Amino acid sequence: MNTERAEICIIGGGIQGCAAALELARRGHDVIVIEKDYPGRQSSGVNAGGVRRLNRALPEIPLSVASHKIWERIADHVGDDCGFTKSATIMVCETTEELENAKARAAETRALGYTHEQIISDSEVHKHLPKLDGQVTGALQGIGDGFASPFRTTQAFFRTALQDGARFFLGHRVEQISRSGHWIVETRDSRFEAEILINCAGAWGNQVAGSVGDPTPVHAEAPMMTITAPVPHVTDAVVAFTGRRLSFKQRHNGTLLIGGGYRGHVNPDGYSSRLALDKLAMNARAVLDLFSHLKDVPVVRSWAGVEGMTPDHMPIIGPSLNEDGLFHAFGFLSHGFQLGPIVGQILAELVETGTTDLPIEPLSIRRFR
Amino acid sequence: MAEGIQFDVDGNAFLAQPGETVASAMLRLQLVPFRFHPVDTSPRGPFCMMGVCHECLIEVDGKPGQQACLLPVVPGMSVRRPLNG
Repeated sequence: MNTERAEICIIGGGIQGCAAALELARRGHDVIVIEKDYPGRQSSGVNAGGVRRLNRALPEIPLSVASHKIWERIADHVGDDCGFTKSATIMVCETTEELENAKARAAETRALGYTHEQIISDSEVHKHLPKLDGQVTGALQGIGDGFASPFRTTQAFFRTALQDGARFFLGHRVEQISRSGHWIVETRDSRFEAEILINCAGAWGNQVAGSVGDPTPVHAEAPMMTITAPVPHVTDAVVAFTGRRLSFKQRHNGTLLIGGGYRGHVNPDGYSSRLALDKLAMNARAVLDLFSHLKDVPVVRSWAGVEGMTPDHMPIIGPSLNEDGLFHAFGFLSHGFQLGPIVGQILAELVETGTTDLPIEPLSIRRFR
Repeated sequence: MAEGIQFDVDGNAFLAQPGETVASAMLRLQLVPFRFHPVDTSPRGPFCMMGVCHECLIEVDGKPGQQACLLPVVPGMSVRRPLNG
């Protein structure tokens, strides 16, 4: 059996694992990444690509704002602009009550010192959605938010981490984790030894955490996305609706990328997914309720990636509570992509100093004890 | 070869071979381009011929956005090329 030794071993080569590997390699650490498939195989590569601070849970905002600063110079960071495009990002309100809630939300984040959320009027919403059927009352907009290409981004972090000296073992599925002073991670035909272990295993993060005494309630889900054939201009914005399960954007080539949190099925093997056609039909109907002129537009493709879900919809980030030299960053369901760059930096700081300037305590695994 | 399948494209009658798809019949009859791209207006036509690329979309019997490469021609089928977008 082949044995590899390193200072740090990261399990999971998604955006979080690749970002951590990049940051640690740049700081001169000897780091290996064990990835069961290839970088971006699941949610890191197939998510909606939102680069969004808008409407995040309050504990996530400081991280999201810090990550956005890295996104602003992403090409310098990973040698590729990752397709990052700034675009009006709006949560549309259709009733007075929804708008009142959005105003309260904007006031709340302003009071906390953040300036990235603002209210826009109904006429401004209609400018972003000229073919919308029906009335709106306004929207909450994320100023400076946008979208990027998720697979390209994850691959850019992977490539840059490789160039900076991180070692990747792709196609290696972890079978066992044990400790004898150092960590011992075993795959079918290799053994990895490291002083520090970082769990970036996404939907499978609980399998890693649980096997080292940190069980969590994270489970796998498979949100579905759909892309249509190119259509004439529908919107220049990344659009979500406050009161509907629907989000979409129109890419440069005219195709509509549609989601809304409709779940496909995670297959019994736990590693792959399949579509739920009844839910896809609901997603399509949600589009047609608002844009009847799109009724004959063909769907080109639908897909789902497997993601890790926590009960409070916030990720688990931070040190283990019962093992030294173990850090977690997983369970990011539906909103980890934008956070990836800062999570890499946080993990590097935790490894080097045991602490970070960013307030990660609310994201600690402690809340699931 | 009298046993072709009669169908029409933009109001003109043509004959297809039995089992032939709309896309292959239209290519053989040189009825190109199939349409123009809705965003950049470039001329488009079949590329993959197997249902993947969605470049061959045409209107069939009043229903737009049909994949010509996947539809066998049937007698009396009426095809329209959405040449104006």
